[in-house]
Amino acid sequence: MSELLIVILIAPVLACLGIAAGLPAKKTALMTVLFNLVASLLLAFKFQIGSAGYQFVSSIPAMSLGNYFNTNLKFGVDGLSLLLLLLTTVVSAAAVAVVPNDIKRPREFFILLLLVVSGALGAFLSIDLFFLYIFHEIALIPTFILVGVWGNQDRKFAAIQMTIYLTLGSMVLLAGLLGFYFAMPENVRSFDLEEIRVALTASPLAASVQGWIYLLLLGGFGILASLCPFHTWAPAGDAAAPAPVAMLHAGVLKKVGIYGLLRLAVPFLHAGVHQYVDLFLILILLNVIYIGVVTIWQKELGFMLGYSSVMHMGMLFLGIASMSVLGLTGTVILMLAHGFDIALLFALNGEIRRRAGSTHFADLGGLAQRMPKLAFLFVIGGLASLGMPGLANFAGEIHVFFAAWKAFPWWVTVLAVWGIVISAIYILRAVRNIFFGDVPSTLPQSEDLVKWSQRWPFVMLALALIVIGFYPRILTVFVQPVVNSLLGL
Amino acid sequence: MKQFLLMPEFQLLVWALVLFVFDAYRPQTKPRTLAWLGILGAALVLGATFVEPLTMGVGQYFHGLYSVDGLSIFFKQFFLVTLIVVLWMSAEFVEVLPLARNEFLLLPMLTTVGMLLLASAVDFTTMFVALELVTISFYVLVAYQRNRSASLEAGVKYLIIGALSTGFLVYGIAFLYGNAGSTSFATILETLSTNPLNLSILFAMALILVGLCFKISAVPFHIWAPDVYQGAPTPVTAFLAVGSKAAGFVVLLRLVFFSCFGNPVVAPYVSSLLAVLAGVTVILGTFAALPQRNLKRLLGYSSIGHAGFILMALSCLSPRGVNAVLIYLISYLLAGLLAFFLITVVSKQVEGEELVNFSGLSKRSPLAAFGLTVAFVSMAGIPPLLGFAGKLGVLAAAWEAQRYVLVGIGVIAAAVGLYYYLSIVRYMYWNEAADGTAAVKLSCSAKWLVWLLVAGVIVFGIYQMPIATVVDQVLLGRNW
Repeated sequence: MSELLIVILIAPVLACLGIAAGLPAKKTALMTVLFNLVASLLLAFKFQIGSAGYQFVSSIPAMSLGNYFNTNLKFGVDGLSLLLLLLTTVVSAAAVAVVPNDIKRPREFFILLLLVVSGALGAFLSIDLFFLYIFHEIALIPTFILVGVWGNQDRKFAAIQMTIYLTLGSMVLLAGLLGFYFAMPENVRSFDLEEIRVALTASPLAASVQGWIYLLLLGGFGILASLCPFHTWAPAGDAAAPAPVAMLHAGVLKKVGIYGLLRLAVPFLHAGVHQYVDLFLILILLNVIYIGVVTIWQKELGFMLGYSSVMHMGMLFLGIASMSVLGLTGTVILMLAHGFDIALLFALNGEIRRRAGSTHFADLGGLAQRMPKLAFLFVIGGLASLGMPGLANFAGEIHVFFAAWKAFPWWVTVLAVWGIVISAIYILRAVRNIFFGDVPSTLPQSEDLVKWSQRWPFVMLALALIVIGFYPRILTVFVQPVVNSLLGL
Repeated sequence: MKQFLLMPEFQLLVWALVLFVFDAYRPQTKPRTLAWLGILGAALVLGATFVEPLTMGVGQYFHGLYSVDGLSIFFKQFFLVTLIVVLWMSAEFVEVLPLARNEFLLLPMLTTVGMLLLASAVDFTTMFVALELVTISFYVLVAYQRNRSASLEAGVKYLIIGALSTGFLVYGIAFLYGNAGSTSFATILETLSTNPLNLSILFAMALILVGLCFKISAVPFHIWAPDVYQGAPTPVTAFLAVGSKAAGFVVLLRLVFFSCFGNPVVAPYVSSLLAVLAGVTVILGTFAALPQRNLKRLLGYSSIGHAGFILMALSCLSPRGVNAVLIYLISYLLAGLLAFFLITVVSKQVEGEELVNFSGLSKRSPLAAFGLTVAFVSMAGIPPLLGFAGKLGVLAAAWEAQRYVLVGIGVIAAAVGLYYYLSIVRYMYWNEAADGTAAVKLSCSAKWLVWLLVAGVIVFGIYQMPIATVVDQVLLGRNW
């Protein structure tokens, strides 16, 4: 089965070469991501539930960096990365499927999109921190070109802002990783998570050092996952990006930041996390309340979704800050829930833009009369986003709130729960403005998602939300052992 | 005599002189033919360097003036590869010159002789002579386009600042000689370790290091770089950026790590001085590049930034730092030559070296736009390209040496650097062509070279083992 893991990783790269060599672009890309979806489901069925260690491990020793860094290109999945692998394959299948057939310069578009996909896959499958970093960075330049060339609105500015901000984030992260590496005793220095675990369980880092490194990592991963003062790139970038890129970016790539904190900060730097928990909580509450208010003020769907995605990241961070089984489980559920949800909403945002020519609330109205199916899907996504019981986000948020209540003073949770109210305000307002009321006369005639070939990506994402919402155990059985081992229980 | 014949310097010199005579008797020879003959010669000498440890043997020759060791062999190969690409580039460029085309192709070979000698110099006399051979032939090359005032201006600036820095260098060498009674690196190392440190030694050291900053275009002698890069003929700019910079670094490496300033008494002073220079250089090069609108001028500033990054690694005076210096230089060799090669070819056809002239290049020549993008993204240090290996090594070395301020500067400079590199990419991919939309044509040999360099940047970026192995060889040679 470990070969299958490598195949999943290589498939997009091969598809890139194939498309460059002249294969039909969309067909090849779609076949590849569907193949990856099936293969990752197969892996999930073969996965041995209940063990915390990595499975399907394979390594490529030839890819080391010489004597100066102990890196090891090693792939494998445990319960956590398996779920994120599924998130990536599902969202990338949907993202490739919603690319309109008449997109300009299709060859370049799909090559770059597949590079983004392979970067995300590699980041979640790597057991080595160094390669996690590298794979995440591979997605950077393709995203820049995708937003800049195929984006909309203020694409040029957004693309460059996003890229520079993310680069700054990843350079800070690199400094943090190097700090982490050099803080370990010289004979056991490694980037390999399994080796790090062995080394640091025996002799944890000194508390003062942990605080230092934690701050750097929080800055780095925080920028990647749009933690509050470092979030400005995200809404503008996601709003300007073409729908498939926004789906992959907000849905998958931002999760690398959370994933990194889970993998590094939680098990190895808990003294650091405890030391700076007040600072972290302030940023989280800013994320939820301040960004929430900003979201309410948005007059355009893309920006609203971008800000709402930033806001929801606050909930994920809150779960991490609680450093408890409940909170971390909630964070993982939310990673998937938010990933599917925001991907669905951004995909629909793209459809609305294509059909109505605009996504400004002022130009829209009454779309439910013309496109009932699209409206129905949007409402599902919206309700999930505001934490409706029965949909995925609720399952995660309830975990996080319970954990936060136990871990922090009562007012933290009380303030954080306001996030749900705020989401309700902006989501319901958006639904009203776009889908109900009178149809503006300026709106061009356009049709609903008529065929199943158009509909399936949206339905797939919505189904994922419903399934997780009604039966979150489908995730928790995978996560439980990993969370326990991350917390050292 | 046998040793003379085996020296790569001598072989290349003979080849260059033969070509000069050949050109004098057959003036109608096409420049391109001459360039290929030059490349052939350089390639043969390059081949010979691989067997040099066997034929000539590792050790010191000519009464301790000349050394064959890992460091010298690595850099000789580095300079010869640079020469090959520069000649390739000059063959594309030379049609622009109104007269004396053939000499333009032969002078770089003489410059390279100087660089090769510099790599082997283990005595201040050899070092100084070699350095002057390099610098003086560059004076000629920089001012080669006599009909262009920009080229002349560049030549004058290079001459004046070069002479000034040479003054610093000689002054420092004289002081050191006064203290140690010798010009040999080995003897000076011995004297420094046995005698107590005094102010005049530190003064001498500071003068020498600062003088060498001219070659690598680091603060305080960086000021020539933007003007000269902009004014000089593009192949010469490339040669300056890659070859001349590496020549400065080979001397610095030998001085501060492999020999005389490497002893524990003076090392802390050297290290602090270099660290300060590195920090200032990185900040200056990076931020001054931001407002530039001329591509070559921009690369001039960015090359100051790169010099700062390499100095940053060097200032750690650790094996990891030296390792980073060498990897960074290799990455800059490939990416820098790729960028300048494409600028040579493209600017000839779009009639200008301003950023606007490169608007819409992705439609006029997809290969050129792709190649330039790869080069710039690699210079910015984004994985998985080779430039990242260099940046990573530098930051890691600085972190290991606990120079956290330098790490901070490096982190910010890397992000800022990406900004101006991407602004070039933006012109090429997002903007429409301003003047003319005719396709930009690359000759067959140009395409080959571009693909070769692009492949180098990408493949070695992903698969770094070969580079790590080569670089390790250099460090093994420390105990000569």
